[in-house]
Amino acid sequence: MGDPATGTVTLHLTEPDPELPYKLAVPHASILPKGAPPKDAGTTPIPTTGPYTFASYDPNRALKMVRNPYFKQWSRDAQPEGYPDEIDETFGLTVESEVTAVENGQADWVFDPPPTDRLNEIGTKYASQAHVNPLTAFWYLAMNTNLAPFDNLKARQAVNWAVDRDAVVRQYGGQNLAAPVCTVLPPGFPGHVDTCDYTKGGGSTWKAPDLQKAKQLVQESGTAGAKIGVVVTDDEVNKSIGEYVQSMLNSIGYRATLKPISGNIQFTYIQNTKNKVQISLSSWYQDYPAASDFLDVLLSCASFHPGSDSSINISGFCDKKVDAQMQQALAAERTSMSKANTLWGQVDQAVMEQAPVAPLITPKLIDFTSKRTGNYQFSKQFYMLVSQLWVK
Amino acid sequence: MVSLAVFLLVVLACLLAPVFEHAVAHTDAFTSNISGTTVVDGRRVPVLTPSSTGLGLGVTPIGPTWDLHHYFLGADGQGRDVMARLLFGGRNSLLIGVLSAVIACGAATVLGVAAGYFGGVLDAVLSRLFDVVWAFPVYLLAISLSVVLLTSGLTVGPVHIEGDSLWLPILIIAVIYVPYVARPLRGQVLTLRGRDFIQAGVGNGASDLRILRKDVLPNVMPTVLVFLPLMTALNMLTESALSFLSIGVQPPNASWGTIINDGLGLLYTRPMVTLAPGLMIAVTAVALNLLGDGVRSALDPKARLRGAA
Repeated sequence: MGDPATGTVTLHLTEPDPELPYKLAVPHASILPKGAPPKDAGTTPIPTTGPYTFASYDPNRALKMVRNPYFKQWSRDAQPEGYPDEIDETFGLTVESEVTAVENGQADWVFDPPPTDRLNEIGTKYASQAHVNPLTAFWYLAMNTNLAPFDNLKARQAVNWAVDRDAVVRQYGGQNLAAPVCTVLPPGFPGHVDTCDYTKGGGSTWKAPDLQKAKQLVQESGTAGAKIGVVVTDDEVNKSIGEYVQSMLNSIGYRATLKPISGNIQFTYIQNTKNKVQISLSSWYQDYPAASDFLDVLLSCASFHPGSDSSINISGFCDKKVDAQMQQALAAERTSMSKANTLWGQVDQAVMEQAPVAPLITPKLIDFTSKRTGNYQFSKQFYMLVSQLWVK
Repeated sequence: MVSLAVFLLVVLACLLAPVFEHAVAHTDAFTSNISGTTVVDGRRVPVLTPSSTGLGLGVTPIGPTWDLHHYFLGADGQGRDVMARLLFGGRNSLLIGVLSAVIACGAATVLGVAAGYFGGVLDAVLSRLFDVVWAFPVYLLAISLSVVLLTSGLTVGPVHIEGDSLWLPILIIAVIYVPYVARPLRGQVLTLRGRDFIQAGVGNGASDLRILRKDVLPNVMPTVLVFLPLMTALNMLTESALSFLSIGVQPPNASWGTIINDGLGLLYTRPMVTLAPGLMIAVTAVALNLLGDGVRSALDPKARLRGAA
């Protein structure tokens, strides 16, 4: 309910939601005009607040943003005034061209992750222009728990034992750009506990794969020889990891094929059960810093919608016992966040026992900016703050 | 002769791929070896080397060592021996090129001769069919067929061909090139049909089958033989293009086109991954084209006379 007289908005909740401040602080909640359509507005932006306004936008060519003449900074922490007078984004270049453009001073920032064969060059010749930041995210293999062979627990565990997370780290760009993970909650994230159920020799951190154990589990599961399709996006890094996963699956006794598809559709394609995806490479980046944003969102029964493109529980994992644990952790958030995070840590371990996913790496983000830019600022939530860059 | 020798040398090298893989390089050309190591100058080094300078970003596959036992041409992004894959890739590229050329020329001979000899409705139907196939840009048709068949494979009656089978690119390439051979053959048969020796056969009551076997086929076979090496080169190039676009030979299998694709992401750091298969395609295609010219000169006395004049 809005009250123009006092300038306040009152929200009435049906039940307590300790994560509400987070939800209000991120684009999940945006202030919109009363008559805003409850659907995708296409290329005609809906008026909202902010220091910049769209001057022109062609989704195939470019976006030009200029200062919003109506914007007044009311809180520097919440929404600061921007430094550049104009922000131009050009679309359609290859990543190689983007990197070259920044190196030559023809552009100020590369939006996409730099290609792996340019990383060494960026890290040495242009080190002062590279900004590396850890992300609260994880890359993982989602295994369809409702489809053979991964409807078999031992088959899922075999993949977790077999996957060489160091190999994936190398394919992502090396240990300064990614680290191996064993759990759904990334290291340093609320609720994260250092445990590793699937590493050679045991321990709380990942050391090495155990192919012998994986092969044994495949044999015990009776799924050896099964045909498996590995669905990945067709960009260089994802395809390369996919090819490794295919090789790994073949080495433990399956017959895997690689299915690289366009990044424009892969994310929704792997969610829809109608596409009968057995295993896919996916990633999840925090919406806000709460364990539920990973575990509840990705692996609860409520997140599984068979036949829908919007079923973010890609594994189709629905375990009543684990689900009850999640509800318990959500309820605990109302009274004690610390107690809730302990419970979320237990949920994470319970999930990994069932192995619906194989966590691979937690990535870092590299921003490559031009020589003339300054005042680089990074937010864990919004990443590089474009509006805060200085340009000489 | 030189072209034939070069082509045979390439074929021989590719046929020896398993020997090179197991006895020389001691590697597996189809399994990722990302965390593996090898020996260079007596030192054990990782196949994929993480950067240790500056910010330490990126991982670079080992480059050419020029040592046949240890990554002679370096490694690709999966840590696999490029030389071993080059040889295995050549087997597939040549197999697809040769088999699709044989199928295309075989089908074209049957259809082109039938259309030219029997004429009438059969000729009209077959000729329009050729026109329809020919109306599509070759690569567009090949890409469309590949994209559709890759996902589900091809089922004809009781026969099912998997999406990752080599038979798929073989058949697709063969089908799209049938009109390229069939149309000239049809024209040649139309000319032959009016010639005296054919008419004499008809006048003597010889059956169509006998005329086709004894008079028509021996006259069109030299043309088919000339087409074979040329079509092999063309089909090999088409296969490479399809594989480069990831819709030909499927990983972990290799062809020269897939290896070029694998090397795309390494162009700045390890150009050999792309250059080596590119060079092999160029050498083989030139050899086959020269071989085709040679066969034509050998089988067509008039061409030899024209050349002498």
